[in-house]
Amino acid sequence: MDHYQYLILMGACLAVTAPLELFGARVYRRPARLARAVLPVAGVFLIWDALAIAGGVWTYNPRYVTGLRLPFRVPVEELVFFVAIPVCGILTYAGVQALGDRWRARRSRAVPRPAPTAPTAPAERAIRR
Amino acid sequence: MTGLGYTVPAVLAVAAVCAWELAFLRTGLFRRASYWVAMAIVLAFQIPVDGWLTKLSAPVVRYAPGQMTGLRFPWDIPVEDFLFGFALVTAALLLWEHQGRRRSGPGPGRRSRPDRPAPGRPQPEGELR
Repeated sequence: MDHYQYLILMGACLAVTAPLELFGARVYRRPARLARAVLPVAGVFLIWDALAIAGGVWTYNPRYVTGLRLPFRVPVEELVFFVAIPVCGILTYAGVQALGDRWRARRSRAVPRPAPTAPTAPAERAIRR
Repeated sequence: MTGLGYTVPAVLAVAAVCAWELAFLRTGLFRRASYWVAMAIVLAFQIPVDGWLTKLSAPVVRYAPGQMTGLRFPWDIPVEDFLFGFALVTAALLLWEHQGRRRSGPGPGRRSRPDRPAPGRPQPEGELR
């Protein structure tokens, strides 16, 4: 089980943020937009990762990773990380937006607008002047 | 602290992401409250997740001491990780916003007024689906 520690942690991140989709985040329901946001960034960070691994800036503890490696000795866990974490970030952002929209909608329903008189007021003032 | 193979790229990544938004994408993400709320939530979750990955007692990721400042806070998280995380999540959010804006105009109210064009930008005809 120890070898799956990194992957399990990434799975936990996705599991914790998944309910945001149900609160109206609408991220997984737009897979093309999600892919176009996440994949280019993941590509750039994978290049950074490969360079850092090659330069010995960081290493991965063989005890806590599967040992599966992509080209340039990048652990498969890193690809999962660079997809999962931005997905979690976008879900959080879209979730915050959805909750904000919902709160504003509820407030505008609760407080009836003084709509009929308001638009005419500037015109009346102009006439009086 | 000699090579700075992590510190320097981490600072540059944050600068690059900010410059990308301010000079090219201009999504307005940094002016949106929902972005800063989401980033605060992301930060709150980064601490336990990153803390797990970097804990010195059983690290998943091990850093070469010569490549960074050596400042670790909170727990054993290298401070550079927060720059790295900021750049990763913000870059993905910028592309996410960029996609949404290309399709249906700017701003948080884009769903309620989908026909408003983005100011100062040509509308990409034929990309609207």
